[in-house]
Amino acid sequence: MPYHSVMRRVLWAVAGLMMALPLAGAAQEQIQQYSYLYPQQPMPDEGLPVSPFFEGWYDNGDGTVTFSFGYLNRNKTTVRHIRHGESNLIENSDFQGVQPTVFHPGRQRGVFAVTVPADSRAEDVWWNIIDEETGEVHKVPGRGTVSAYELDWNPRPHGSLPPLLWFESESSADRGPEGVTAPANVTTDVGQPVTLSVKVRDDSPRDPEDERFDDTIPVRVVWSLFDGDPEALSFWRHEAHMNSGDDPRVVQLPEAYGVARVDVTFSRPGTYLFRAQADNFAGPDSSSNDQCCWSNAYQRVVVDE
Amino acid sequence: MHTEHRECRKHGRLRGSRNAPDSTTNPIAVLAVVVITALLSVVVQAQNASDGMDTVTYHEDVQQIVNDNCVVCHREGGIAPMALDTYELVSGFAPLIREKVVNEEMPPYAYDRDIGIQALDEDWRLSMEQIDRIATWVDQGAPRGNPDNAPPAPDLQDPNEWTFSDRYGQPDLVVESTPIDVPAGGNDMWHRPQVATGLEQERCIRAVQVKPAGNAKAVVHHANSRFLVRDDEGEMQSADRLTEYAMGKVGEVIPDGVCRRAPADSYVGWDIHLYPGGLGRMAPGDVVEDNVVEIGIWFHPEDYEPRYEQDLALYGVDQGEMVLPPHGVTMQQDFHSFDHPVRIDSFQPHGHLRMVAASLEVFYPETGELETISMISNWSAQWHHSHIYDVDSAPLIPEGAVMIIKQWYDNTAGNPNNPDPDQWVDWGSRTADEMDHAWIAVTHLDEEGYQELLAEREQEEESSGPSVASAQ
Repeated sequence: MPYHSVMRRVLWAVAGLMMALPLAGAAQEQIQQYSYLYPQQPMPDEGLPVSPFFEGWYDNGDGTVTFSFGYLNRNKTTVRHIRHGESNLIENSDFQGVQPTVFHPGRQRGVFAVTVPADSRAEDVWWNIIDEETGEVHKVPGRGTVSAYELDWNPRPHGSLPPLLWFESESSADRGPEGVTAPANVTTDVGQPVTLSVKVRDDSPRDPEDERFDDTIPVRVVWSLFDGDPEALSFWRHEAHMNSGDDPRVVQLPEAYGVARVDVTFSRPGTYLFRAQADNFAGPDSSSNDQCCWSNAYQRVVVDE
Repeated sequence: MHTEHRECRKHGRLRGSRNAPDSTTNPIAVLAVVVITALLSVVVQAQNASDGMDTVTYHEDVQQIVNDNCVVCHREGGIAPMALDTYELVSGFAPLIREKVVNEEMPPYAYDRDIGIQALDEDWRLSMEQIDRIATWVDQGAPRGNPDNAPPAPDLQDPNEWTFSDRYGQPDLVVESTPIDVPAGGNDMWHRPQVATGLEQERCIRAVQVKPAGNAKAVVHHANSRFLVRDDEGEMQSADRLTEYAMGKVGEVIPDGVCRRAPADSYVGWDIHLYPGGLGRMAPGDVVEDNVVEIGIWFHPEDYEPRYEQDLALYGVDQGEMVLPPHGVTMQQDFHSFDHPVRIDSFQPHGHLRMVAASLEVFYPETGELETISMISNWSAQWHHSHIYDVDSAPLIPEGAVMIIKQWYDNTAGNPNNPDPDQWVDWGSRTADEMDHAWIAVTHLDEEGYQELLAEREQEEESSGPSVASAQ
């Protein structure tokens, strides 16, 4: 190799080292806290922890505030199961147990919410997740004091609202990430299919002059396991929704009104909690990234031998 | 006079407006320039120390700089928090002005000197000589001087006027979004109306500016726009991008000889991101009623004959994962190349409150050289400048060369824009979330045109001698 070429490489190496030195300390500090962080690395199938996310807070107008939480499972395909306890803890014990134990791959926004009474609205609600393999602690505060994270219940600029959800009577319908919980458990036996259902209605006010609303904006409902053994069940497309695509957990309601159903069978007894997310993402002013508009419904299932 | 008042970081590399790898990438040359510059700096400072300093006064030496660069915003009714149009006001803020100017936080145009292309259109930076003059004036006690020597009052543009009207007159076409009330607080909003342009024939755009009306400037985070046209069935279909606006951006000027098309019988499909309550010092913190955003378009003449197409597109910077842990930092990068030669006409990195720096580089596979085109090491979400390269300096990129875009993020408490360093942050649409892309305007050349432009620049360099960076 010619001398000048070698010299050039040496000089660049020295220059590069000098430039990297100030960064090395920061990188080391970073590695100590978050040893998995290699931003240029493609997402692997497994082996990465789950990080809790605070989505934002709603001022309910009565002094209470609602904190919305989601998470990021950075594994490309692996569902993580982290049981309630020290490894999956909400520090305010009033809310411990409302968070998921089943973490699906990717970023899942607004999967649950808690409402904080007026007299403690200024206090943080921390959600901690400890990775059982690496011991890393990932935590995030629900916090109702930072305006950049404020959410609201108002219709979006083109009318989108989180769809209304209910199980029995429409008078009990509710909307948003805190959503509704079924008043009664569903029961079944191992190997016996059971149908889960939730009723949905979109009441978003739309501009009749806007041609984008000449046809009804459909509502999508996605069923998922929220708490329980993710290895012990299978979803099946319900016969009422044969035109909703390949994934049986996903139900399309073209009229933005109706019942969203899914069939499930279990291979092990136990208690399972399911979440149905109904969204308005086909609207021009609604998406997961926008933090609006979807609603959650939760259905518990007890499975016997 | 002092030559070194700056406290911000500096780069040691000078470059001209060349379009391909050059000798400035030689590390020996770089080190030599650094050493010589440092020696010269020492010599000049020693000379100044021995000579003593000339007195710098407001009316004789400083007021013209303030009039030309500050008063446009710092005046009664301007968007800045205080007026700077009298000696009393300016001298009252003298220490703060010194700090902001020396650190190049004001005027608000973050773009590193002495690295990458320095010949920019709509460049708001002061020259080093101007910075030194202001710093010296403050250091000397901000003396007034003789009011009889004051420069004439500036002929200021109405702050609600189109910025480009001085250059092109009033826009040929103005398209307004539909009005919407922006509440005082709550979730970010995305307003996406579709508005007819009224254009009866296709035209080529010469310049375009997006202008939030009145006090809506602080609540309009961005206002993207693209053309929509109806297909044979009458369905609205997406066509070319019109432009992009983000907080602080002035507008775009499309170089002569190229065309960014505005289709006939088209609509503007708006995508307006609204931030209730507002961002920055000018945040109204109150309801903004009937918020409207306007697009002003200046067209080339109807008989204009462009040679090439130009477009503005979003280039992702998402090769890695966009995840920021609490109190953490990260960097994103991505790579883009073309199957034909191009000219890069402008570069505008985009991120939100945690983004702090950005760069654009070009890698030339045939030679293995890496060239820095632009570096912004103190980027702020409050000023989304599109860095418009002077047409004679705009990078000419051969087929197969690779654009490398890098963006840096800081989720620590040390980032003054950070709303909450305890939060995990990832990609999202809200201002509190992050984004990782750049808007780049590109003229799509063919090989013949590329070679012609190369030859023109080489001829110009030969006739004018070796080029040196035009850092002011």
